[in-house]
Amino acid sequence: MPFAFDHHPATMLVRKLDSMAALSDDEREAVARLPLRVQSLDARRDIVRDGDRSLRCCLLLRGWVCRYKLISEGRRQIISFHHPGDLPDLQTLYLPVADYGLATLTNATVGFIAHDSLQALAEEFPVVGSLLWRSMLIDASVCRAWMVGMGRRSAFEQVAHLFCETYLKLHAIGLADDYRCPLPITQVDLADALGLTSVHVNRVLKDLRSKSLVTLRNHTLVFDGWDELLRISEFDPTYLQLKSEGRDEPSPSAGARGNREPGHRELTSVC
Amino acid sequence: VFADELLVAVLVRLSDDHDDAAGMWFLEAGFGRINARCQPSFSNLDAAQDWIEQQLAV
Repeated sequence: MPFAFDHHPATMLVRKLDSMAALSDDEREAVARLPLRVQSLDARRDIVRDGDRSLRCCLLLRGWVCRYKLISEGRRQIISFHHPGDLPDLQTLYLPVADYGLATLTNATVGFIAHDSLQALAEEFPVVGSLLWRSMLIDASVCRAWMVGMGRRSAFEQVAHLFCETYLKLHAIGLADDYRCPLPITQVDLADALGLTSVHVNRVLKDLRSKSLVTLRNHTLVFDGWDELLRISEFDPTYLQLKSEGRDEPSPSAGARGNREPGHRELTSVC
Repeated sequence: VFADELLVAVLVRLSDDHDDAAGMWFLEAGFGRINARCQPSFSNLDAAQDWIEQQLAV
């Protein structure tokens, strides 16, 4: 259905929530009218520092950001990647002191929403409130998936799993299609997210390319062997809780059907 | 790399596949007191040896 508030920056949040469950027109309008203070940021800038106390949440409108922890000798663990429509520090609504840093990975535009505004929205529109709560739970699901990857998967499986996750998340908000998606981050970022070294990431990327599974070129991922990648990484998209269109549910055993060529449209029914 | 006749580390010279890091020495594996989760690359073997000695001295 056409939406009358596309010009409003909070439309990215509408799109994100709509990717989780269908909103009514009133709910869409209320979300789109959230008061935002929009700010453009350069890449590699902190938005929230570890220990900061917040009275607002950050809505990502453009670009990529990450949450991270720093330990001694400059070692960094990236805890999560975030894409437009995400509220990466939504938890500050209830836990105002951040126990992580939040930083841009690329040039980005963010909108800051006062906690009071979000709380008022959630009270007036309980469906929106439950979706915000749900998005925090999904955030925790993704953290669990990453924990399993770092604890038990091989470097190859981990990279494959993260690429599948990234494609499906971006596809759900309309920023990826035809087995292609942007990946505007460095190999060091990937390494810090996966608990690997950039040497390992570089090796895996070359391996993925030589096996005709994924090619990374000019910050774009091209999936040449989607089903094989799902199989190798044992990827089950359940944890992403993407809205189903009610047909052709994704199956982790899809690899049994063999590799599809890029451009195959079956996946669009998944998200 | 051996210390007191015990294998403590394996260093690998990075090939041209590794772009800016090509030619550096990568800690492929560390044993015992060498932190296997921290795998730095070194510009030369002296730097690698210094780092390994520091780790063993901790």
